[in-house]
Amino acid sequence: MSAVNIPPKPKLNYLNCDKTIRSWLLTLDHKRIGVMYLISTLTAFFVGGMLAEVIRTQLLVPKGLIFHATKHMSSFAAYKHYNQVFTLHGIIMVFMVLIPIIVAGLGNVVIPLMLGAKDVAFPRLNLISFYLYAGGAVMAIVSTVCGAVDTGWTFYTPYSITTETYVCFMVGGIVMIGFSSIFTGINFIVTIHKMRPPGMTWFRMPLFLWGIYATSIIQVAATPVIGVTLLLLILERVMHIGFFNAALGGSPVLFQDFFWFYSHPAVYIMILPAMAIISEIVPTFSRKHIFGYEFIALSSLAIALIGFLVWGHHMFVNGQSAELDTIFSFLTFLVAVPSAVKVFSWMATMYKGAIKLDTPMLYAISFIILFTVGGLTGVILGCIAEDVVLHDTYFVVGHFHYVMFGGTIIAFLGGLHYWWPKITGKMYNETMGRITCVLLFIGVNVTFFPQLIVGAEGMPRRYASYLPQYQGYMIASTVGAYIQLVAFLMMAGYLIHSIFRGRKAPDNPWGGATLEWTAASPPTHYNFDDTPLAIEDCYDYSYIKYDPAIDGYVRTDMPAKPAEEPETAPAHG
Amino acid sequence: MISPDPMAAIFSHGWNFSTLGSLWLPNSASSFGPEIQWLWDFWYWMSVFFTVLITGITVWFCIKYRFRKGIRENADPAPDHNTPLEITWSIIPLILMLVLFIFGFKYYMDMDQPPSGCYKISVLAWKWHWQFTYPDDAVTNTLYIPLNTPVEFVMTSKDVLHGFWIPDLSIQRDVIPGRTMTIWVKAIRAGHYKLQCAEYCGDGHSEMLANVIVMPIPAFKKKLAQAADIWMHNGKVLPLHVVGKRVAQLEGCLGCHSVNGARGTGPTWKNLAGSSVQLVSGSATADYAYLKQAILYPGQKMVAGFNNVMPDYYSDFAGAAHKRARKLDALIWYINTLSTHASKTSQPPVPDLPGKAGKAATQPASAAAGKAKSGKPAATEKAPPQKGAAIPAAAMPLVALGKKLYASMGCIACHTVNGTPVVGPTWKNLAGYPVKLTTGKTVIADYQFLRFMILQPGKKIVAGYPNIMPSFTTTLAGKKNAKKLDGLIWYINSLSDKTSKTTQPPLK
Amino acid sequence: MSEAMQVEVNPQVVKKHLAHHFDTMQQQFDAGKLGMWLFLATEVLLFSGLFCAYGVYRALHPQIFQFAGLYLDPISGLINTIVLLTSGFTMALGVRFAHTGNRKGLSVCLILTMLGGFGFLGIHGYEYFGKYRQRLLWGTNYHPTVAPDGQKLLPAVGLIPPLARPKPIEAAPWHHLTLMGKRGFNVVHSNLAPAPIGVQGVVSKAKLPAPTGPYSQPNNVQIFFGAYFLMTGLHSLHVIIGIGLMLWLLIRNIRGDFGPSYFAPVEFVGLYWGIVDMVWMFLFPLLYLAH
Repeated sequence: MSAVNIPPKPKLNYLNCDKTIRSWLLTLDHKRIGVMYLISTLTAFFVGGMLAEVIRTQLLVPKGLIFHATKHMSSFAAYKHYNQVFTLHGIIMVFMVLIPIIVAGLGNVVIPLMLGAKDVAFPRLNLISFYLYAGGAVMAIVSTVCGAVDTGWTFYTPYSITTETYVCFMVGGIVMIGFSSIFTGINFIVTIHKMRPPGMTWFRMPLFLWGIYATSIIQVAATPVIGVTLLLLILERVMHIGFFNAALGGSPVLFQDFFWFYSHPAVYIMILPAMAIISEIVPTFSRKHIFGYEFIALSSLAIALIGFLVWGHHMFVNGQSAELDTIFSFLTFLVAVPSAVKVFSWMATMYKGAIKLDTPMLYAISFIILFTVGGLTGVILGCIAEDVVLHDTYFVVGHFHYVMFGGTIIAFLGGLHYWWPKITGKMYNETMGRITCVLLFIGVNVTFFPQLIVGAEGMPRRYASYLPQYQGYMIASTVGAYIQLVAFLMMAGYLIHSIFRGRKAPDNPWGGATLEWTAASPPTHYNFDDTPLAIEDCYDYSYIKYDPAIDGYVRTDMPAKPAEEPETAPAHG
Repeated sequence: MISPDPMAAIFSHGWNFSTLGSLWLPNSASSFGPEIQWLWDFWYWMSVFFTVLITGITVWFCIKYRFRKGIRENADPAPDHNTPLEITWSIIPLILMLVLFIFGFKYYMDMDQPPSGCYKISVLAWKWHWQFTYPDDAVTNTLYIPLNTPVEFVMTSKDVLHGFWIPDLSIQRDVIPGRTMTIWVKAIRAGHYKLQCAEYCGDGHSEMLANVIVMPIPAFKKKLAQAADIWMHNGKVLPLHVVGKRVAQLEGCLGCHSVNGARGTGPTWKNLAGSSVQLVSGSATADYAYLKQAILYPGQKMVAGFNNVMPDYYSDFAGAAHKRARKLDALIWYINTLSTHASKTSQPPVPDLPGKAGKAATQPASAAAGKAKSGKPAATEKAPPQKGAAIPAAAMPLVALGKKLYASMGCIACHTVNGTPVVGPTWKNLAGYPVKLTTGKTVIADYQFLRFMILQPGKKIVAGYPNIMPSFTTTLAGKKNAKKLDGLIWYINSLSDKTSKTTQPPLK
Repeated sequence: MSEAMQVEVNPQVVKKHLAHHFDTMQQQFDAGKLGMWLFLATEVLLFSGLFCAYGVYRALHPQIFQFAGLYLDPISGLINTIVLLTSGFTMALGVRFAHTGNRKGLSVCLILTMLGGFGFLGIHGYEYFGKYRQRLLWGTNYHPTVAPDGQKLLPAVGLIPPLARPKPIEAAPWHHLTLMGKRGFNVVHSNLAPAPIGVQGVVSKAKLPAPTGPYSQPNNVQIFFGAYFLMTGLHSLHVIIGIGLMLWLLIRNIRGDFGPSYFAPVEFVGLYWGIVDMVWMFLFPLLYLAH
């Protein structure tokens, strides 16, 4: 029984209710802010992706195809530009894409809808967050235009103190993005705490909300530390305060501890929401209740909490004491277990389901496979003795791209395709979607699997040139990157096409049981006319039936075609 | 997924998990190789198993339970949780993780604790260069490692973080400024390997490589003995500028400074010496003093258009030790040879300033020189009490020729004529005096001895002086050059108060 | 956190201050309060990062902190503590007045709290000025001339007066490492030479000269002053922001915005000021009583 009122199909939705630019730039509507985040992060993703193509093209030949020694330039001077390119790639992808893209992009649109709320708890703060993000991006652009940064995205001291590139601007931008992240986290924690609809207890929440909740905790708790760390880095450069400078009695390694205290949890900021998306997609397309709800929900929190205690595994070879190495290694192995069990739970959800292989589901399956590879390669990196022979090699690069790209980005794309009809009100071309997903899956593997091998053979990361024996793997990897480029161009093509020429989307095209599918596609400005109740289990699909008339799903416990009824249906019990 | 290096697999001494060998990892030449490879293989096959399992089951479900219109539109009833199952699939990964953890921990402890009595090699890293110093003070750029010997590396960095990473020896550790890091290894297979910098360190990171050669102990010792003396090569003493080139390589100068005019991280050395340099503030002439300052304290006078990335070479060159200061001069000689603007001012001063020395040679010896009197022809006439034969008038043109050669052939760089010992023995009062050799023998510096020392300087070495004099066989030996050689020896004789028939060249 | 703080229901206030997406004023207040607590948690974490850095350095070089702590005047620190605690009390009183709708009382309390904030900043500024005059500054700017008790400081371990410093060493950006063959590394200590830090039995075998007098100081004292200026500076920045917020509250209060059914901003600024007080309660002993 549901007490959700479905209003008559409104003519005005959040996209067309006010079309002025000002109404977009100053909007307090979470959906519009979410869309602005999506546009910004996807733009950043495009830039970062093109930089990745530059990196891969450079590495086609051992001495570098793009940046190499010429008559007028020594190899080192040329490699500096390569270093700037991979640094920018890392910074853009980590701070401007992976961290905000799911939480702030999709999350902003979906969270209040899933909660049946009108907006997030602090809409103004939400807009401030967005502009902090935009401001940070502007500062990063200023830094890049002035002369870029060549420190690597990790900003390790003392190199970052001594390099004469524009570190301060870049770091200042990242601090701003960090504050954006903190405010978003605060906003979502309060929203989930205080704005759940009647009937939605903690253990009736969709798992996406659990994932976002755990993520937000990390954002709130970890980001201040990187804020202060990067602030110290700026002070170090500007005022020579000496905290990280060996010559002034400081410790360069302390920076690493501080940095990873944030940046390792940041990995979970990236992957937890991805897992949360998969936990929504898999049951919806299997038409079957999620398996092991409590475990998945609590494991998100467990991962978030243990994730705070494993940062030292990035520093097994920097001479921290063997005792610390051991503790960090142990905790790293512990954190692997809940991730593994999540994978098993998704598989168990598919067992005996009625699996529809639509585009979002294909992405979810890709995620499961790619994340398995990413996770298993992470396990060996957590093993101290083996990390010694793998640290800072392409094996690490391959591993985290499997997790970050094969995990976060693939899950994001799944989520984007899943909620695309809700966000835009249009359906994309399903065939193109499926072909692209398969192509992307192939591209990811062709790109990153050779990196695992070449890394294990000993090729270090961040190399502008390399020993000739690695060339075969490098070429393969580059071919994969080009395949990905083709896939992304296809995706951009059919998604943009769908906005203008796409078929109109029904309210519930996939048969989802969470509350956002009870809102219109696209939703109205205030989402729902009345606060909906959430009495049903949000993973019970038995009462959601396909209706060929609208080519979408409807809830059978309410009038089939509410649009035909002039007045809103009365609330049931 | 074939073994990347089949040859290595064939020559493997390591213990392999399966007949396929350890996939991906290089066949480790270190004593912990077998442990690492065993653990790797365990993980590898575990991963293959789980990847195939998860992928297989997922794909199988997708096919078996696929949505079929009218046939399979709804899921079959199935439980949405099953506690025993969930516990099982939590415990199994946990056990596997614990196995990996325990062995990883155990093997790491082996790698972390160096056995006592390790052979110690100091490693110094800086942008973008490795330098290895062995217990007997040999310095190399190639890392030589004795076979079957536990070797401990004592490492530090001059500037930023670097990573000491030899894939084939399965060792890696960061090199951190202000700290001394240690790591040890026992190489069990001779061969040529690569050291790569693993921790990002800037422009030249990817070229911060070094060759690693593991060799049996006798060969290792021989190699070090060779490396210990940069002034010689295959028993031949090298000219200073060639030594300078060696120094440039050893100190990693050439990574940033090109010698062909190409723009690098630092200014090119081509046509640098003697030219005018645009500084960040003002300009300067690249004379000897400037070059010296720029090497010792690079940040002080920055060349416009370049960044302040060069580490200081204070500890490498400066200080009282003659050997180090001479290395710097050799380096500057090398820079001078690359320049068409090179001149006296840009060249390192020959000890005791050439001008003065020249003057000293033309003037009577100062009174401060004590009993010594100049052996110059004019002086010999005025000095009847002096023992020994005077220079015959017939030899005067030869003395003048010798004096000219003294300056033009560069003898002046190392030998003074006023009694001051510098790089080489002074020529004042050399002829006819006893000379102590490194062999412990004392000989009288007669004509034959002087001749021998000029033509084959490395064969006999005067005690207290380094063996750095180049051989002059090509320029002074033979009939054609006999006059020149004799001229030099006449000149040496003219500087001594014990000159005699035995020390003078025969007059024809 | 948000334990049963009752917000009176007043239809006019609801119309004016209730945002569209909340159902009740109570919900809005609770949400705001939870958000504020979370924000304050991030503030605490921001400072705790610095406290960690402090702890690490203190553990590595206790002698620096024992020595440099003598330079700070615990009396002025104590006065500042009292001033800040008093202002914390007046702020709490102000929140109480806001609950009960006492506008005049709230205004007086806000003004008193601001005065407390200014007093705190004034005393701090005076201290900073003193440190500046003695060149007790961070990093490379640390060139003290006097010992903690005012006597002339003898040039001693790791300290060479600025003028007497040999030029080359000053110019060299890093400490000088000399390779000494069999003896491994020798760290030649310049005035900026790093103290041996490290976890795994560090090999800095350089023998430091014995202290030459009672006022000889350890190496790297600048680390302490770096921490001092950074932590108190960041805290003072928070005090300044707090004063600005109170000014804003004061204007709104004079305009008549606050009453028993709408006092959330006062409550939240009160919480903020409480955290500012609390951070100082940690800073004071860590820095002023370091010796």
